[in-house]
Amino acid sequence: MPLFHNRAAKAFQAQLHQLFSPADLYFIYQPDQATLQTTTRTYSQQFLANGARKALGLIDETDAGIIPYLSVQANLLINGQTQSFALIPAALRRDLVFLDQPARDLTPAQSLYVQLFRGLFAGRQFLLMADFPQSMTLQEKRLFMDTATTAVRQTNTSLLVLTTDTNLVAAHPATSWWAAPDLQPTAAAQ
Amino acid sequence: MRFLERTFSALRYHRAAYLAEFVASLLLCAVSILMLTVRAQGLDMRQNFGDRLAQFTPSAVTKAGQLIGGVQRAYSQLDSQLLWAWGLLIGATALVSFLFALLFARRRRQESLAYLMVGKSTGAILAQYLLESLIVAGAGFLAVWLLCLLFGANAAGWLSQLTRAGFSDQLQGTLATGTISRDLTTLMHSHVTTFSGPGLLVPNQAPGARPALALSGEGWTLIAIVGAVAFGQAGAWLLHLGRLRWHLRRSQP
Repeated sequence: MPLFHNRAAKAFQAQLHQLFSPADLYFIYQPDQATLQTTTRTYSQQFLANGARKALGLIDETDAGIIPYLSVQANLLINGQTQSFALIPAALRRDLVFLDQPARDLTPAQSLYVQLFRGLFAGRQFLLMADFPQSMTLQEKRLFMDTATTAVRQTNTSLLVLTTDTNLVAAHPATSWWAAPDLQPTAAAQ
Repeated sequence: MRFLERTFSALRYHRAAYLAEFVASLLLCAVSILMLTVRAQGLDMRQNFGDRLAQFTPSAVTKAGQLIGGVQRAYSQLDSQLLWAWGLLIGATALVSFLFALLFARRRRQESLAYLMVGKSTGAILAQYLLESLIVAGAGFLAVWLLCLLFGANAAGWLSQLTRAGFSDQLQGTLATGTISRDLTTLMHSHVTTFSGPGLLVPNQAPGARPALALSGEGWTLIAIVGAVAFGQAGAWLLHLGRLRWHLRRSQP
């Protein structure tokens, strides 16, 4: 049994690396919110079932996993620090007031950045993001994507963005899917 | 260090709830120490009664057998009742802690979910929550201990009267007043003593060095109250975290 699990886990990781290499932002189209939530759950469960829990970080507006009474910095480093703090953009890194404040009043956009860098500092190989908050403007989304692209390439992490926005998917044809790929490797691959 | 940072941040964030727990811990520790002090005083009195009784001849003791047996039974019953009451207090502490933690868990649901979602283990979350409570319970005990240092002598004097009253009630429940008077008179006539009849049954503390703390049972109180809080809350938190973890894993592809 352990041998089977180990082989399955290795096949799963190989499948992931085949689908989402090199480290970058990948967009996966979802027709509606319900399907998006189902896909998020499905992907999370597949990581868990294949022993790859520690390889995955989640970015979700509704279940942000942010501890309200800890400072922003403490939330960033809650799972440890495998990367230099210089990974964070200078403007954010030097804003000590923001970093020291309790994380209870973060805006949806700020929460997204905290979850992104929390996952990167924890050394996650894959980050799964359940779409952008509705309140984010196009400019804010672009800024986030630019920041995230730089950061994930530095840390060799792949950020998978599930989204209902067809424009995002169409704008990145090389790193997008119109149908969610199956993460589970085929029996032959196992 | 991050673990301690989370612990103390949580204490600050949930200070209203923990203030209530502090007050409850303080009261429970105080009641525990009072009970154990009364018990210790009763045991002291029983010992001193035995020591004074040794001054009488065996024949005199035999003649007052009913009284002596009654006194020993009264002391024994008083001790037993106090132990049971103290045990019930500790049990109630564990139960109250369990219920407090269950109520508190509802308030901390989002926080617990957040910890689980970032990958913290149940053990790590439980350890943090328990440490918060143990710090507060320990602080409650410390406050009581300081009060004992300041007011212990006065409290011990008042408790001594309570112990005597408790013993007298027990004795009168065991023996008729007439029997007590008759046997006591028989005993006191058989030997010249430095104490009176009532002084035999309910003797004052023997002369000698007095302990720094006039009250007793601080060590047992610390162990029992803190232990009850820990066990009571651990049960509730495990239930809460287990339910949350099951809820997170519930959705199957």
